[in-house]
Amino acid sequence: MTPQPGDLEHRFRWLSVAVVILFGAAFAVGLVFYALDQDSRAAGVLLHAGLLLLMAAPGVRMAIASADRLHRRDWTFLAMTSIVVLELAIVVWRATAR
Amino acid sequence: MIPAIMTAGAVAGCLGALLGIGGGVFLIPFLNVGLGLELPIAAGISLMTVIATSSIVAAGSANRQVINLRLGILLQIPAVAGGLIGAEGVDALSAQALSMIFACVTGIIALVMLTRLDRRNVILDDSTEPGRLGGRYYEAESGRRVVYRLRRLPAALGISFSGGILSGLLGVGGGILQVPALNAWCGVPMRAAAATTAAMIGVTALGSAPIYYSRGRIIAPLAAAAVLGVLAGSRAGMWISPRARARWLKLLMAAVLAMVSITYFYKASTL
Repeated sequence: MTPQPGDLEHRFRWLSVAVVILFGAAFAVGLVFYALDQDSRAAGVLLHAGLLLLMAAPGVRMAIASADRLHRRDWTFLAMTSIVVLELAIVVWRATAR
Repeated sequence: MIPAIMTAGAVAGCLGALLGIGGGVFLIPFLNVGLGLELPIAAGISLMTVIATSSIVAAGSANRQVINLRLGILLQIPAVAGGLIGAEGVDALSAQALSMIFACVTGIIALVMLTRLDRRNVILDDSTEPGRLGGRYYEAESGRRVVYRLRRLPAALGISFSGGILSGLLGVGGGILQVPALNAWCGVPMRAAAATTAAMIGVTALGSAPIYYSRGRIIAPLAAAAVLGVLAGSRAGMWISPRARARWLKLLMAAVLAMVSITYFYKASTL
């Protein structure tokens, strides 16, 4: 049957929601500052913080799902997730190496 | 420009959550053709909206029973690799080549969707074993629990890799290929393909977004406006999704993709 999210994933779903709220709030406040002054330092900091939080969101979800699967000893899922995490580490390395 | 991008983001987010393809395919023509931004800049902004749509779908409670997380993470292995290759390769292609690729991909997918309108892929006998990568969920259209089995796994992996490359090159999110291909060739029902892909394409986009960001191709205020629009629009899409008929979802997707394809063939011919 379709593997369903377990208790742990349900319990920590708030964390995924919190990340969405945080980057949404950073973008909203940042855009207000930007509308008032396009050269505002606060706007730049908030908008870029929002972008970084947004890019962190899938990682947070994967971490929660992995913790859940670890709890349920789903080694196949964990092995597949590990490969994806390794690929993402290479992406970050390529991005920061410039 | 900011309010226009926010509105476009809302429309793209609604369609993206509804169809499981992230919304980038709708936003990019608006940013590129409508507002005149360069295709790589539009792609960078679009990648951010793809991640946002995916984050909202995954954090929400709607469609949870339809999301096939095991299949989703397996398909991310080739998709993320493709995303990295696409992001590294975007500089090697001209604007005309990128436009032509965009036109061809959207046109082909529209045709595939139209020829497979009535393919449901569900087995009505609930006692059938779905296998390690299949699934089982309640389907409102038939009023019972249905089963599906994944077929042609190598094709699903190959399509995910190609979707990742397109995501990295054009910022459209891998869903534009994955959803129709999983439905048409791999035995996955449209709703399961859309929900699974929508929840996972944020990871695909992450295969190229940091590289776009580090190259300064993500303009923060424009990306923020698009993402805020997507936050609102994808909520609407998630509300509509369980209530919409699969056939109409496919028709809507085919029609929009055909329009995008024609627009980009025209654009490529005039560059």
